[in-house]
Amino acid sequence: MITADSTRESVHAFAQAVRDALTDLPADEVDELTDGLEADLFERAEELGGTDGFGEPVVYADELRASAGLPERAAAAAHRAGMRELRDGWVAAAAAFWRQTVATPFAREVTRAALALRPVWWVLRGWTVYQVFALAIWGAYSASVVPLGLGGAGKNALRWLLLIAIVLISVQWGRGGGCRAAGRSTCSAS
Amino acid sequence: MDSTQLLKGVLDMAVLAVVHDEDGYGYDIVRRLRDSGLEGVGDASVYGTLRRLYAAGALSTYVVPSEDGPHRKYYGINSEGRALLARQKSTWSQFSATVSALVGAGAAAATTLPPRAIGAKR
Repeated sequence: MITADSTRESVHAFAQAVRDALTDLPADEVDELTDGLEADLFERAEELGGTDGFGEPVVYADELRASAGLPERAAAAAHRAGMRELRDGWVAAAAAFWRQTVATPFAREVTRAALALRPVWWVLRGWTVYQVFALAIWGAYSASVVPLGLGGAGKNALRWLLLIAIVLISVQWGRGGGCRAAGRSTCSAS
Repeated sequence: MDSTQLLKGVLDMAVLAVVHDEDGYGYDIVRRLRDSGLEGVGDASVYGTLRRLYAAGALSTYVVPSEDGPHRKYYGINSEGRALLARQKSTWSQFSATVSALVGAGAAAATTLPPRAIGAKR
């Protein structure tokens, strides 16, 4: 009968796929674990009217080995290790690229210039924080580069005071951080 | 409650009990477990359990050739298996009585009990 033959064939294919998923185990262990498997599978296939309901052979093999108290599939463990290697490789490549980039004379010059301009960044940082404060306190009207116009002289004086205070804090903070970064033992900022 | 977790803890005993009634081959044992009401039991789980119980010395096996297909591997219980089944039955009786009493004593206790604790192996 053609149907029975095709079922038999797909049962064999399934059983073989299950064995293939167990190849990391000792051969005699696989034989013990899958001895008689075809007969069992064939009987079930006859009940189900085919092998479609069997699921994935790999999942079947995993269930088989787990319930038999055998170690997890080596391929799964190897796959995880492979992913880890791949990730580490990417990180290493990115780090190498970064090192090469910063090693060029141009990049060194840019870095040196950026470091020399550090106080400018501190002032800019303070100004940005001031803008946020000013927006929060006085709203959009105060969103000028420096406190000018709008409002009385007293109000503007207050804004200047706030701007200067925040910039000073930012600069002092930057100097403190700079001292720590440079690893100096004496540091004027506490 | 997820009964598959509970099943994991008692599958050894269930398989031993089925084989104790009568020798059987893999799928025959699966079918008898399912007919008894353990419908969620997986084929591969049962085959693996049979293999483990055999390796532990609780079951014996023999092969029955078939004239029109692959041979069948039968499992039968031995004295060691019978002793193991008796021990597991006694543990199960005590355990299920304890849990039944606990659950019966108050509905709140049942909801706070982690499902895994019941099915967990000793």
